[in-house]
Amino acid sequence: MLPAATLALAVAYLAGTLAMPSPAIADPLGPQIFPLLIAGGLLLTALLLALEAWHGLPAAPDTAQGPPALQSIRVVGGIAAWTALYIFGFERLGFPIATTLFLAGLMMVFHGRAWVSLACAVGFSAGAWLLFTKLLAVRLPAGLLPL
Amino acid sequence: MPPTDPKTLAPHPCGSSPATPRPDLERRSLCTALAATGALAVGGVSAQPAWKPSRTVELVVFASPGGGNDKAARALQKIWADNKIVDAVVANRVGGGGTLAYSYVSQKAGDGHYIAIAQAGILTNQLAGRTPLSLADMTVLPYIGTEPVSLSVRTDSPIRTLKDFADRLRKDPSSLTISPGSTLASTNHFVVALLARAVGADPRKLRMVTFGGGAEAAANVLGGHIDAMVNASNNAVPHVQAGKMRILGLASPKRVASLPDVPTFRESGFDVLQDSWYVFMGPRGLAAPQVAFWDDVFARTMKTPEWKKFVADNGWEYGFKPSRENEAFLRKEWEEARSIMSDLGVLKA
Amino acid sequence: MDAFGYLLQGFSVAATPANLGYVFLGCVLGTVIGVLPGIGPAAAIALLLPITYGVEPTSALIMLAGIYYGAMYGGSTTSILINTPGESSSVMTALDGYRMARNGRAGAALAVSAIASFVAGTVSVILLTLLAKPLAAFALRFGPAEYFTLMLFAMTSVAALTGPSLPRGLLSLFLGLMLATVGIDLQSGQQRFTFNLPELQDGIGFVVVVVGLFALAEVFSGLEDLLRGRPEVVRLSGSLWLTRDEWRRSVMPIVRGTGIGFFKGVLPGAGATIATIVSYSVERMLSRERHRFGTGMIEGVAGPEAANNASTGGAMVPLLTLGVPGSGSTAILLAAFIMYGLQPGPMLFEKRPDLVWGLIASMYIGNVVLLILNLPLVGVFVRLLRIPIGLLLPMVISISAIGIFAVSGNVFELWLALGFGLLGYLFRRLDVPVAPLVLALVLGGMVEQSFRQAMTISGADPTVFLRSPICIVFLCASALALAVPVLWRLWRRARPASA
Repeated sequence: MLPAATLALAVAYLAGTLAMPSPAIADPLGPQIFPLLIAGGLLLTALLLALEAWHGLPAAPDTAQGPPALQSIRVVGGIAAWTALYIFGFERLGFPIATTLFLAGLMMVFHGRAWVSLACAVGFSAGAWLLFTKLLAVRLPAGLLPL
Repeated sequence: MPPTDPKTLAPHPCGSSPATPRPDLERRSLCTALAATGALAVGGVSAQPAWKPSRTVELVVFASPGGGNDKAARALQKIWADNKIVDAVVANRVGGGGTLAYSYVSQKAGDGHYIAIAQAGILTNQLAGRTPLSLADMTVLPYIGTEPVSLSVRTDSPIRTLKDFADRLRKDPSSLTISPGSTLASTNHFVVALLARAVGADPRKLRMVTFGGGAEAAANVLGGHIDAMVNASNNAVPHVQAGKMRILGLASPKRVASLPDVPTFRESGFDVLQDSWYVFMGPRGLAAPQVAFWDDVFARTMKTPEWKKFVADNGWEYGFKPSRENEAFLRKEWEEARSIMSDLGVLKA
Repeated sequence: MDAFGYLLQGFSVAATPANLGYVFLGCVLGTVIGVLPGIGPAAAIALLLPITYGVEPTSALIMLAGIYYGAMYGGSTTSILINTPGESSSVMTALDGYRMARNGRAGAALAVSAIASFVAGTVSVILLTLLAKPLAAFALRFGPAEYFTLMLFAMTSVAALTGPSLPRGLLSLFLGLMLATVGIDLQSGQQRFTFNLPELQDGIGFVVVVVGLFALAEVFSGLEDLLRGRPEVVRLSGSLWLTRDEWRRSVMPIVRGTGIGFFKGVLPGAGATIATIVSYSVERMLSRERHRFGTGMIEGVAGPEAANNASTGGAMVPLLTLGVPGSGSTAILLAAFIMYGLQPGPMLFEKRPDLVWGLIASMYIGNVVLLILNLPLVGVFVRLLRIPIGLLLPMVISISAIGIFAVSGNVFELWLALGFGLLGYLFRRLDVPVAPLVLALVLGGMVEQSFRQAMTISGADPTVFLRSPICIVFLCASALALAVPVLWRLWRRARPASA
């Protein structure tokens, strides 16, 4: 899977590079040389990855677990989707509301104890808001709240 | 009738004073009415209330910190902060000879909280085909001054005068490495190109090297890695004062007060004239009150002693044109740049 | 008056109660902001600059110096505790520092980081005091060709970080280079891979990538493990302090890191990152257990941390003597100088010695203040790790969002970070190393630009890279960096044959 993905990426990048118009005046090398070299390197890497897969991957320490299992994909997908909602609501709902909702959701799932999670979510959102916007003059979106 | 709100920054066009006897008040009312009518006639819409920023203004700069326009922007911001004129923050958006900064600002259509400091790149980027953005996509704000462009070399360089430099170019235009700062096909580049032209050398054969900014170019000249640099004179001046660099010539119409010993290109017999002007631009579609606000802010800033000190310290030439005059000026400059670039074969628009 | 005389005068300026207060405040603020994932010294200074308005210039600059150092300390803290470098210069710290934390040695990692930073920072300021002028001359000898060979050396060192699987390491490296080409090309003004998105014209920011690949990926993995019933509890084994063995092993890396960092810092452009890469690389080359680097070797933290802070002192050399900033952070300091009406350049030492030496003196003081602030804080920070993971990790996401948004003001960057978070998670599962990507992203642009500049100057003549002694030194070093691991492995294989 990895070699195939790498190959696809290399080809796409190469296509993008070749599609670049050449500028009127530039240095003798131009903006395309490096991308071309990189595309070449990536193609080579795809080849090496394929070879490696063929011969069997040399065992790496405890972190190598192979492609993620379905359940992992669902869990991480879920977290990612929830985070995407958070980002979506970041400016529209504003930092305080979006963060409270986001944290409450995750914490209740992963930590369990509902009241603790909720308290933590609210506390963090409020605390961070005060610290950054009031004390440190960092701009965070207020969104729906009249702050 | 335009509000005569004392908090409005624009001074009342008919003058005012706190303790005016009745006749003046009447005169002022009449005058105000006339002004209003005039505004109506010109604007063609019902009189719009004066505008002022409701949050921090972003002063977008296309060079990295330390470069010429960054210094100017920061000086302005400080003057505004000290005199409580405008609350602004400087945002650097480096790259593409300004295309990044200009395209960023042009997207904030109708929003007067974003202004960008601009130089000739605003015209040449479009002409060189680097960006589709042109004057039509932005609102022209005031012109605030100009900097003489200088050609400088190391003190221990064998090139002693402008004539030496020109001779070298005539013999072989690619024999010297020159940096125009951070952008090709810029005012700086034009200076050398025009010089090459003047001695009959092909400007296309010039060896130009771009660096991140004036400071980097200067470091490379001092270190002997390139032969010369052509950019705003205040990149060279500190090093000239330290005895490490020599300015061969200035591309301005006449000598500048801060550099009394440096000849201009014209004086040395070369018809090369380029002006490194600074203007401000806003996003497209700025309403008249917003433009008026900025015209007023800049007019006031130009009069402050801090600004005059900045101009003197940095070897600028003092100048100010409000938006309308500036627009006409820029259109003329555009025509001229177009013809030079066409001659040089770099025109792409 | 000689240098020490000036320095003493500088201390008298810096040690006034008001200025001491400013240094302290700067250090505290800098640390707090620097702790945010994704905010390093440059961003911290940019964000906190408004706080210095209205303050008298010398004091304002002193406070900014405090912020700068504070942010560097803060950035190291997040690297070690939650695997999120605050700036490119903290990436190397995260490699072994985080693993040390996972092995239960978080306290030791934080402590050695604070001490290495203090020693290096102090020594570099001493070197700055003594050697500013001659070093400035040295710095000028680095032109594009020399920079290229230096970057090449750094890149080859990165290549050595590929881990057990070369192809995967290369994948990471080339991906990083690819990401580095996104944006407007400085040399030609050409847009590359921006898909007509104005947000991409600036290129892909390092901060976004790092926060995604390190912090977010870590959160995803951690939460997943939690749900699957395999929570990785961070134990604390032994004392919070360094053991005698750890002390002993840290001394020479700190010394070497200081030297490497300072001299690298002196070269305008490129900054601290390369110093940390070189330091890590050197420690690895000199170590007898080089295969254990990446699993929590204290040398891998002590060296880069020292290099990191030493380069700060070094970066002041081109800034104060030539007016050329050495890195993003010094560029902002330069901007601050200008804002206060000062003209950094060759004349600054002559025209405003009170300011320059006051600043230098306050850098000494800043180092001391930070040591005093941070060592006790080690205990506090480590206790933060005790927060239940289900509560801590979600907060990490939110803190990361604050860090990114604060600097860019743009929600687009948050999306990018999320994307990189998923990528980082995939990398973990597929055993692709993350460090090469990040470092290639940082170095890629500089490698390309300096190469093209050098070629323009030489008229497309490649022998330009063989002309100066500096170039040759770095080219040889690059060859060595590539060859040594290979040769060593071959030698290793040959050895067991002889009993």
